[in-house]
Amino acid sequence: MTKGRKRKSGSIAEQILDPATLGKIALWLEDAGVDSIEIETEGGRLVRIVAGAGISSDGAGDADVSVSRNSAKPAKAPIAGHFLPVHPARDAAEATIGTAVFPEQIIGFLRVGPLIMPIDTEEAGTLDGCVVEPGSLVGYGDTVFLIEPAQ
Amino acid sequence: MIEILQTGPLNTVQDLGRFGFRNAGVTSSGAMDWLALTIGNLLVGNGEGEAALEVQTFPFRLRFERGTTVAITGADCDARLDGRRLPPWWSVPVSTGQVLELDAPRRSARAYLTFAGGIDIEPVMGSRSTSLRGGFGGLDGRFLAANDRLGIGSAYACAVPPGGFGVMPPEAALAEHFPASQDGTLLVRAIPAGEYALFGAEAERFWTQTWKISSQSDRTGYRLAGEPIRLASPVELRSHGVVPGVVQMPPSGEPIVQMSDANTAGGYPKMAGVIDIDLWRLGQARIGSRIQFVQSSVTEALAAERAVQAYLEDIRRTVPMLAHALAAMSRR
Repeated sequence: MTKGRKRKSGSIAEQILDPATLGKIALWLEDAGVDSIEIETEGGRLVRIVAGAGISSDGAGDADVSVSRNSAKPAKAPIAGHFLPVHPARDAAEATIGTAVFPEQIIGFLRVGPLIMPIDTEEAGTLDGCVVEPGSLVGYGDTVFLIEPAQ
Repeated sequence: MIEILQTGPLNTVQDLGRFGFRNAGVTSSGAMDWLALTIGNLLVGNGEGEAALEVQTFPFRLRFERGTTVAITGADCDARLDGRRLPPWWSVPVSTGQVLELDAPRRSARAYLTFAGGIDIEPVMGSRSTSLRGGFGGLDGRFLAANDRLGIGSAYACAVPPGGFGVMPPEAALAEHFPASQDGTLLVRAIPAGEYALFGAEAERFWTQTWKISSQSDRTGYRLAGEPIRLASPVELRSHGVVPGVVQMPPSGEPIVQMSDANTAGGYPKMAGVIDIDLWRLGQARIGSRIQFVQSSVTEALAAERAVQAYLEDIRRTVPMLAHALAAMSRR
């Protein structure tokens, strides 16, 4: 998986952001029994459409929480799923806040239906914090953990 | 190829079992936890009945002599691949020379190692399961020893992400379909069997007390320890067919539950039959742990079976979808 996102043609973005279209998509989701959908647009915005809960759009795609946290680097979700801080068969998390982590260490999980995907680190450092509530739905590329890189 | 570097006794090659030969006195054998074996195969892209290693004594170490994908299911043995910790119920790509280590689990009894392409040994009577008592099947009918080398079947490159991926453990995913106790006693559902009525009022204590799995327990059967339940007057039965799950009452009054290597025939009175869908949980129960029988019904047993089948179907459907999604994202 690459971190950067390549954008396709731009006209779709404006179409999706049209309130009438958004409303229509929300209705389709509701009919299909889907709670929400995330769409990445040309501008790097992540549009999250939640069925039956109004329409929201935020800049989560680029405005990572980590920006405000000095030098901390994000550990991002490799896929959309529900965040599991602890493996369901274990009593303790793979890494705790304040402890050292090494590259490619699994530090959390995402539940994707019956499957589980790992959230891992890119580089060595100290696990600085977790920015997602247990069980909440995170999108592809969302920051889940913050890691203070090793000096 | 894989090479066994370290193993305790009684670790064997097992698949889903050898069926159709009980009339000739051939036990079915097969994994004590068939669900863990099935899930392991799904996680590496295999057919669900491919053979795996059933590991029940530890520590266990093996080295991969070529790249493949391995899944670790069943008991959480704090698996490490070249020292890197792996979560339980996990599938991961491995490369030549890497060493996988398993330690004794703190909960549950048996771990399963499945390999993409399966274990390449000749089936005997339609199965690769080891029959230890018969001395055939699996690896020359015996348990694994250090320096053993086993061939791994060839498989397509399976789209497993480098960090691997896993599955919701059945205990978590199916919690609402399996009874649980407050104190960790394993609740095992059973249905009264042929000679149940002979025990009269004594039979009540079969359900009300907890039984300890004695040290005289193995893949053939579990001998349970507790307050004996005896017949008012002894009966002699003709030998009759026995299958895994049958709970017999020998003259000692302490039950025997027949497991995967169950005898094909026996003559003890049958108190109950453990429902099929609870056998994998019993297969993970440890010597020294306590179990309690819970009276069940065919309706309840079938409902639990449907829930497990739906869970497996969900995994079957989602594994290829996850692979496609990851492949699509890696092209971005």
